[in-house]
Amino acid sequence: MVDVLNIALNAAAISALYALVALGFTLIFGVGGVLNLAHGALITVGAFAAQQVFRVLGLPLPLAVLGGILAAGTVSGLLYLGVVRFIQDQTVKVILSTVIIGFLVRHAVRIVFGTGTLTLPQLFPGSAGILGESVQNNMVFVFCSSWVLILALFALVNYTTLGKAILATSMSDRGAALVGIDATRINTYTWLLAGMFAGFAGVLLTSFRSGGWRMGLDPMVLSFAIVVLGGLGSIRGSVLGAYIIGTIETVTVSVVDTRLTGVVPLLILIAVLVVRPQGLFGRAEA
Amino acid sequence: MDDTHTTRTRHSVARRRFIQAAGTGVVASFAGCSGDSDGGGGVTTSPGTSNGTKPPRNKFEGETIKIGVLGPLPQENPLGKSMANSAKLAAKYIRDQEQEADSDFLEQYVEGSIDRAALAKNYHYKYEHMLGADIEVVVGNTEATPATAKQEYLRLTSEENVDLTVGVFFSSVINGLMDLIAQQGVPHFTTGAAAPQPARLVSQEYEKYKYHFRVGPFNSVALAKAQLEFIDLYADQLGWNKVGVLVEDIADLKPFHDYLKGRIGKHIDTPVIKVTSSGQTNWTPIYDDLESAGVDVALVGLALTGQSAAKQWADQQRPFEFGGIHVFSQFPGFWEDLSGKARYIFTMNSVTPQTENTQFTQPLMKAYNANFDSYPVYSGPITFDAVRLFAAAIRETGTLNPDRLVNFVESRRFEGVSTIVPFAEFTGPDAKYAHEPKFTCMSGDTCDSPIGVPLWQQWQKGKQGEGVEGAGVMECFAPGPVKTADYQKPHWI
Repeated sequence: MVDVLNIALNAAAISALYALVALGFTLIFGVGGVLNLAHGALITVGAFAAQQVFRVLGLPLPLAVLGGILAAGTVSGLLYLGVVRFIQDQTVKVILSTVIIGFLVRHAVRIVFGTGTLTLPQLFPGSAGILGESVQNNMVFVFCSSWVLILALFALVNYTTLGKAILATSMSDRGAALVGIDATRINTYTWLLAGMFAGFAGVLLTSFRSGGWRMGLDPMVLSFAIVVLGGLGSIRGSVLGAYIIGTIETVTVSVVDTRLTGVVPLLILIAVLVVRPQGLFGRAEA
Repeated sequence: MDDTHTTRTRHSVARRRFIQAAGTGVVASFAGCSGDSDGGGGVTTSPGTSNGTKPPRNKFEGETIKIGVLGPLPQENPLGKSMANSAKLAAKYIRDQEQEADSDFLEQYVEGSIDRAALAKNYHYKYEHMLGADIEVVVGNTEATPATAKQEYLRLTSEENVDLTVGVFFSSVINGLMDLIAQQGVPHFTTGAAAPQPARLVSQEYEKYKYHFRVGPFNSVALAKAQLEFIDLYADQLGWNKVGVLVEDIADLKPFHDYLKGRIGKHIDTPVIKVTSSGQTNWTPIYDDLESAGVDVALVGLALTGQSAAKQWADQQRPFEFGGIHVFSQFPGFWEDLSGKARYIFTMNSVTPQTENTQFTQPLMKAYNANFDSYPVYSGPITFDAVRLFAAAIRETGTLNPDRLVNFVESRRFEGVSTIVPFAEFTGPDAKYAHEPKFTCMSGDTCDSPIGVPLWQQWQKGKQGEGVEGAGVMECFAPGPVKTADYQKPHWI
């Protein structure tokens, strides 16, 4: 018999994780119109940095999480300042550069840390009972932290000076410059922030399931599917997209066929590109 | 009784001397140590070892016999690294044997005690040489892809002109190489992949594909048979009444799944049989299904997704046991990789750093550790055996002709060569799966001539004094003859 409540709880938890994975990707596209295909590599950087802090330096897990977030944010910021800044108006060059850098980072991680398994302990071990179902505390944490960050990002963008500057830059670099906003500085902040989201997602992925040098590839594809479904650049669209994909995937695995894991996002991606290329919250091109 | 005692004494002496030598980083002699005083021992083949004219001792003096190793990422991946390192270890061992044989001859010559006839026999059986030839190992990196493997195979056979290729871990890779192996006509000993397809090809088109042998492990159909045998023998003992089967959707495990699917229900109540995605990352819904079905154990066949499955099972402390064919659990570094979450996971394996399958297993483990500061995955010992088996065939036949070597290898039983099984013997051309290691059964409880493997290993916490305190060890809980510890139930069950 299908346990609907169990499926719903699983879907909510995994969708929250997917939302975190996709947020950084959509943020960069929303502000700079840049498809950052090195996003998966930033997830990997976050995971490995946290693991180094925890296992090699022997620091407590919360500091390891912080280390992962800061490392991925730093790499992301440097990626923007060192490469993307100079070519951000040339879409093809940006796509190629970020793909190549993504591969370089992956292989650098492979060479430095090897091909072994990457693990972090659960941030919150144990389980809790919700409506009679047992739910892992770690997933409750993922769900809660995901929503805290989503709401914080909304608040940042809509109610702070920095957020308004980000919005202004996303509409027009020149227009923003006319009112005294330094677009490069705002873009750097955006990349830093997006990298930190990616780093946190990498830590959570590793804590939840384990990782390795290739761990960024699937989240990259997943992010792409989510933001295309939600509408490129739309934060609320990405959140909704994550929940749609997470739910369909959980239902598919639980009820239809476990082999379809990983296939669902791709099928949705193709369907959206054909039927509604602007996504749920994107604007159709004239 | 006396014979048994003599054999055991001889073997324990061999072990001691090997370990002493291994500790200094030298690959010592198996055969020289274990051989009895009149020159018996070492690797023997039957029928026909003790009779007939032997090739001249120095027939290949001045020549170099080249062995090509094909492994996935042999610089860094434990599977490929184990293969490459073990082939090099075997080469070093054979070179050392050659020198020992020469020293022995010189010593007797100086003493004036030389008996040429006895010495000739001695050289033949006591030392694992290649009739005076040097041996060189050339490593190829398949990158775990059929396309790269083909390039590397052609490099080894056409440019390096190797006399034998060994290795290959993934089924897709060996399946993709079969036509090239037929084309090049160079013997190939598979030492990792479990796909049954190559053996079917040998059986169906013998003349074309006869150059392929699998030294180990057993193919995935035999592994499925072993899985059922294990259930028959141990399910009651372990308190299992219901099992759930999870097999990953990859070519390597498809024959395993297909064989089990129609049969396991006749052996034990199996309410869940699922094929899982090779991209599975979230195991929660799947484990929920197993839990609601009330299974006692998840019998898995997992390769690529084994780490996340294991971590989530342990993190979530699911109320069922977990194991089967879990490839990552076969890696000696898995405990550390998974930060101890490997505890209680069991898997089939061919050999572990703890087991003593044959008298040669532990000496090899210690020699490997002394030389490479780690322990090999099972593909290592099998590769080590493969090189020594090839050396024995050259020594016996005095030829490098591939057809004659193939004919010899397929028609003989090799004793004293394997670190895994009591003897190495291959199925003949007429068998359904040809040129495969002969699999009868795992345990003496189910047939008259048990092969003793696959063995069943469980990750357990090491006791004080066994290496690093608290580190994991790969204990073997079945079958009886190779058992090193009792099975442990997860503490949360």
